[in-house]
Amino acid sequence: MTLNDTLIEAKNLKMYFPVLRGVLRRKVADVKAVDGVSFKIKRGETLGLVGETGCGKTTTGRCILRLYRPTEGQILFEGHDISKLPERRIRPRRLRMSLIFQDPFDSLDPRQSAGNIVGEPLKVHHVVNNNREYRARVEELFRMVGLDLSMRNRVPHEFSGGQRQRIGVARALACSPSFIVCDEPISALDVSIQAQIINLLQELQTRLKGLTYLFIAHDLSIVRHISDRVAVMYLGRIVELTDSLTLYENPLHPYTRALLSAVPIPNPFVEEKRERIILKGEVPSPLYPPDGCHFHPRCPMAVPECSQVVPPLRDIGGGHEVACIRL
Amino acid sequence: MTFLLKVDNLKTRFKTELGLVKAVDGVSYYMREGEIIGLVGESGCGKSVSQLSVLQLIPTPPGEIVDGEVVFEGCDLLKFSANSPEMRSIRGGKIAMIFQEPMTSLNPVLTIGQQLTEMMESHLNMNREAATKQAIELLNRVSMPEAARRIAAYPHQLSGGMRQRVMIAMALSCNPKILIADEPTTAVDVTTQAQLLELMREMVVHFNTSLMIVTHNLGVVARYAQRLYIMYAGRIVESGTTKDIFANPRHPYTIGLLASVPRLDEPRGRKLVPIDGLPPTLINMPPTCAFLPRCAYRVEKCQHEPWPELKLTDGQHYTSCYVDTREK
Amino acid sequence: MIREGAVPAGVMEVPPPQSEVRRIAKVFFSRKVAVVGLIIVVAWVLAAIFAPHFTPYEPYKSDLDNALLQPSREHLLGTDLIGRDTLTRIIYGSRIAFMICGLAVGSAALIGSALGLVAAYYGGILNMVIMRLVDALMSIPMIVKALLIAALLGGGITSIVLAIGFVLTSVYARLMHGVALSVKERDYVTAARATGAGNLRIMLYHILPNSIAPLMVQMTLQLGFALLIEAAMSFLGVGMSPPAAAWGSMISTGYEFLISRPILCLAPGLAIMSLVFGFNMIGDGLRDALDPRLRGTL
Repeated sequence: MTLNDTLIEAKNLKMYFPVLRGVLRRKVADVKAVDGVSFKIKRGETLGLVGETGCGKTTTGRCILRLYRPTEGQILFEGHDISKLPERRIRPRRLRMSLIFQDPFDSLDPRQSAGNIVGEPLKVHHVVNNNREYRARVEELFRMVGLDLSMRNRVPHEFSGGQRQRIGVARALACSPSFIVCDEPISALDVSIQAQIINLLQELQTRLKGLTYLFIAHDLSIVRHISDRVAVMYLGRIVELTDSLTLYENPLHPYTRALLSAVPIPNPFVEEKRERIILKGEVPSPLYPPDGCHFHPRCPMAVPECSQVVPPLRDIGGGHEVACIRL
Repeated sequence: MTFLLKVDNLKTRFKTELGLVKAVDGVSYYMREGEIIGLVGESGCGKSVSQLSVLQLIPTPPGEIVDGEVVFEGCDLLKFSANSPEMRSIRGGKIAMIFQEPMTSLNPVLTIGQQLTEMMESHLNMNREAATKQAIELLNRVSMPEAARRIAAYPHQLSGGMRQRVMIAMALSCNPKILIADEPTTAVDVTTQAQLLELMREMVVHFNTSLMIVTHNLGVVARYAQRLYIMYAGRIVESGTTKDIFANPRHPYTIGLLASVPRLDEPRGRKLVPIDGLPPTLINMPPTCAFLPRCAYRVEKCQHEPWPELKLTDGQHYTSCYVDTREK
Repeated sequence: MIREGAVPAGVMEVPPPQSEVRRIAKVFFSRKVAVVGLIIVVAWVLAAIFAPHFTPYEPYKSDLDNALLQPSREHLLGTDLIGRDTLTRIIYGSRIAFMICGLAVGSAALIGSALGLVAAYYGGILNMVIMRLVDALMSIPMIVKALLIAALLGGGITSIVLAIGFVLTSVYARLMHGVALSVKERDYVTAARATGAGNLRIMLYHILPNSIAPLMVQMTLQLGFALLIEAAMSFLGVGMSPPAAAWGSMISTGYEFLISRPILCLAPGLAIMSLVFGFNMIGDGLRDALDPRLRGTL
């Protein structure tokens, strides 16, 4: 296991959800949640995936974990294509990949104790040989995430939001995965608690060599802080992908620039002087995406050609990928 | 100077199974005409309850406004009962509120046109025709695409951003003096958030309305608010101009908040410093400072003395803390 | 390592946890009617268990010399056509009542929930087939269903249990199906799938325990219902046949003496009524107590 080899690769990933109408459940349209997404994640890296509602980032995350069967495209995990494998062939790989959820209230089974929730993956994959080892591992996980061991028999509703999220993290770590998809792990938490969880995730990555994150969020400040590279999604496609430094200092895609200018900065002196790009209109429904470049109806740089051509995600130098024909 | 609104020592309590919750525990603030004020705090700090108390929208079996004055245009609103004709004409008429979740604050069985005209008919005594024309005008003003057609739409047929615009249109329909926006940005995307806030700011400038933004987002108030009130556990712990508070935060909670959020204007690697512990439950609180268990600046005095009053530090900057945090 | 904070985790934000069982019990016992219902049912349960100790007579021994006696000090409820003490038979009848109701409801709940759960979980064609079948069965009047099964299987306790169970199954299938469908969408079920848990594990460990509450309420309510069906069946002659001391068949045999010895019908009738009432009140109390509003955080 060497650091810096590609752990995850998505190739032209597409996930369409059919819309069925009528008694005979005939398909009338597709919700094109993910519409041709490609990226690589190196072992030990954190790739941030940002975008607004309907951009498909959550669906992408779940596709990568094969919680959906992608409509098209490939997903390479540790070099093997898992996009078309049946569930029973995926299952053994599941201990090396896991998911942290957004909602700390809904992601824990209300009827199970914290210890059981954290230990379930151990049982599912038969990672431990006896009860003693099981208990020891659960204790170790509790300690790793900063949870008090005495609370192992409590049920979720007896914990605060931040603590529940820690339980979720512990569960995700149970079988020592190499890859964790963090799906908006802090959006549902109070501001003063968010930093605790972010720090925890970063510390874990330092301690557990080779732990790789796909960090999905809509909060750009948080994503910048924790990610090595960032992909910006709009309506099912990636519009820009580069390392965090470049993205925030030299954003090229007009959507990225509008997105960044819309993020308020807690500094009134800076805010006074900032350029504000206010987009017109709203994000279209993924049922009826615009032709060609999905962003063209709202783009300040659009030309007629933009509605006819789907811009490919091109590397314009130094690993900076942008999907725009005007650049 | 005359204030448009002056709230003095407002206290609102809730009786619950587990004890008395002092949701708002002596909150005072003021608003002048044409100002944009920010009320900042996390969930459970009492900021929404304080605004609902101003409008007397607190459900009164468990809740009760037990003390304080709410002086609006020279008149104490708490003198009137919640259902009095005076309060009803103030709500929506002089003081309007926009809520966080537009789906639940819009009536799902009425078209947005009906909801708009209803407000204008009752507050401004307009007839149906005039109100409808005005409604379309308002929708245009809030950049609602195809306003004349959309006026016959039902809330569920609109997107989240559009519903928020309807709420803004409704709130502004009767030319209120004060607009209260309760977490206006939480349920919408960043780009829509930017649109809506710009819109509200334009409305403020255009109509000379005052705007109160209730939020937990420090960036939003940095961008829009002129003055800030920071709330914690039912009280205001720091107040002053936005620039002053961000340049020289005094209260340990404010300092903690600023240190714990990542920002685009600082170098990427800055370590986030979280605030230890958890926000309090507000049930049966001790008389000492509510932030004490989480405070990095605490001293011996804080353990014995009651929660400090707001004290002037400089200019208009007030803070409620015994410690001079500049020294650390 | 990151500590949760200066204060021990859990102290500040969440109040001391009240055990969920205690909370449910508290609500339940605050409803007077539920408590009354509980007392009634417990009384009958004790009667059923300790029947031989309470009863001075044999329920099945005939004593023609003492036939059709009026209620007296020796026979508190009189005797029936062949001299058996009515009170004794009523008390022994509770055993049959509980056995039949318990088995019928239990098996209906088991099979019905299994069907509903599997249908909801797998979806697709399986779901359609199972649920349409359930719908079709529900459209047949229940007496017809009961009579059909009883007739097919002959008399006796097994056939009655199966007949009543058959009638009740659809309700559980429908109920479980509805609840399971919504539970299936919860994040914690997705989490279990992401962990790699198998279908069976997800259904039994995650979906079932979280879907059971409404079922429990339904079960207690249906106990009374099952008893009524049994009584009707026995009355119609397809249930427990004499000499069994089943309340329904006691009404049936006592029917011809309705005018002369009304107690022969009245006693079993009141017994049925009281037990059904007890079950229903417990069911109502349980429904209130298990109300999801009261579960969960402050």
